[in-house]
Amino acid sequence: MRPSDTWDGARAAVFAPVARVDRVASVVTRLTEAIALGVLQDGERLPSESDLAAQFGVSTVSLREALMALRQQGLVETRRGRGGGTFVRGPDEALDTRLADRVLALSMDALRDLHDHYGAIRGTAARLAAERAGPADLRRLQDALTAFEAATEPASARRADRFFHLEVAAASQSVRLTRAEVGFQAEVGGLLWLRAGETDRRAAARDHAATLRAIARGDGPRARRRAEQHLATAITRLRHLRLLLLAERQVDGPPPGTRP
Amino acid sequence: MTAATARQEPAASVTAVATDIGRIVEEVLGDLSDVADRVVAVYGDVDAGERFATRHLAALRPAIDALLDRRASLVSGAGFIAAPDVLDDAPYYLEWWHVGPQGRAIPLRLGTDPTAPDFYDYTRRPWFAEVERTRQPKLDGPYVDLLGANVYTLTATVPVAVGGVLLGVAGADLYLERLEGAVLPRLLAADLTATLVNEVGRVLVTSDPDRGSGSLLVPRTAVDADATTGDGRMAGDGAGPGRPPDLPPGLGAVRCGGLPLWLVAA
Repeated sequence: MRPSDTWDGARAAVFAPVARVDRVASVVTRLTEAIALGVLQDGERLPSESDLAAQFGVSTVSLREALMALRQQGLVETRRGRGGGTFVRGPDEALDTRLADRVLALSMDALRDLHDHYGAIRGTAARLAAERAGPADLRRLQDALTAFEAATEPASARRADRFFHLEVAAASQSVRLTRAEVGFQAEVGGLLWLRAGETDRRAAARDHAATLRAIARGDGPRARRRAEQHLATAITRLRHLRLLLLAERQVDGPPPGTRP
Repeated sequence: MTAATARQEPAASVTAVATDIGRIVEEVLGDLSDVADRVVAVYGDVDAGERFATRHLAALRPAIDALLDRRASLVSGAGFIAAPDVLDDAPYYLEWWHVGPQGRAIPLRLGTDPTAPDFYDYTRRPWFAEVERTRQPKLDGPYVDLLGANVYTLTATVPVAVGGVLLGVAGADLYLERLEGAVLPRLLAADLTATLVNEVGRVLVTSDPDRGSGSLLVPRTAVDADATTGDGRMAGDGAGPGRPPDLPPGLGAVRCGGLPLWLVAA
């Protein structure tokens, strides 16, 4: 059994136990990323508070604190009464602010190390995919690329991009590398699309097409290089963005209640 | 060595083990046919005036449980997957059970509401689409399955049809590790250095320490991506359903019964 249009593995990764340290922040981060990536979609109802707490491995008190923070950010809303519950809201500005905070919280050194780690994962996955892909794998990759090229607005583009990377990982035939890709997307995937525009999307589509060509041709080294180049482009853009955000924060001053 | 002796008949032991492997997998397909027959019987028993619906599928549990029990060492999950719009109350539906860590059967819950964000369109997967098209059994994979299990698995399916109409497929998941557990001891007992491959030449199980599962027995040659055929097969890729994978000359490949599996001696 495996999904074609959705990846329950990605959803399972969302609703899995969080780190023990700073649980509230971990839950907030996990849900923010999932909303940013479209794993959780606008209007979708979240599981009940007790279910969520159980799945994250946190107390309901911690869970409520996390939901309150997300409500304040405008990322979720709670409706009472019949048909009530906590629902995902994806207004871009609220999400952007939250993601911008996370970009700023990530040092350049941490970003470099993330790049080292996930460059290794994605590069090897692409190389192995080139060596091992069969006709069915190539068909799925082409479908994923077509879906990405056809995506007209940001949410569906992010989703389609996510699927393409997951299909490359699955084509490598490695469960570990696929799991690592899911983890990478959960940890930082949303950040890579922050303030991304049409130009960035078109460049990504060209990158993906080049990677797929190399995989289809069975050219492992080229596939690896293409995958690494694509990630390098995204990380570089994130570095530019981080410097820009730092400059913006200097001008506006630090948010109330924080230290300069 | 002359050309005549270079291409020898496969050793009797290769043929014997290949036959044995074929039997093991055919037994699972036989059990799936039983599940398919049960679906047809349940469908036929639906009262006049009633429509075939998800509640009728509860009657399949004994047959599914029997399969899971009988093939416990090989099969991790099994069930019936409905063709679109066959069931009255659900356009898509899976009556699928897998064995949990405590040995009890757990139902698999996948998104079957086409309008919901977690919708899983299984009709495009080869284990459904090819069976729908060919009305023949299919051994799909191995592939990386992300649906909670995070496992490298094969999926065997057989058609369920009544009067030419496809009701769906009956299927079973065979984790590759479990197939290895059945095949590798047989290779070792026969003192064979050999590799089991599927129809695209992908290594499933091998007693050759220089080879790994998941890789292709014959490395892919660089091909022009534009030379793919309409159905996605690559130019130069001699593999296909019913045809053995391209192999170096002199290397015998013995088919495992009627299955798309071949045993290749080193």
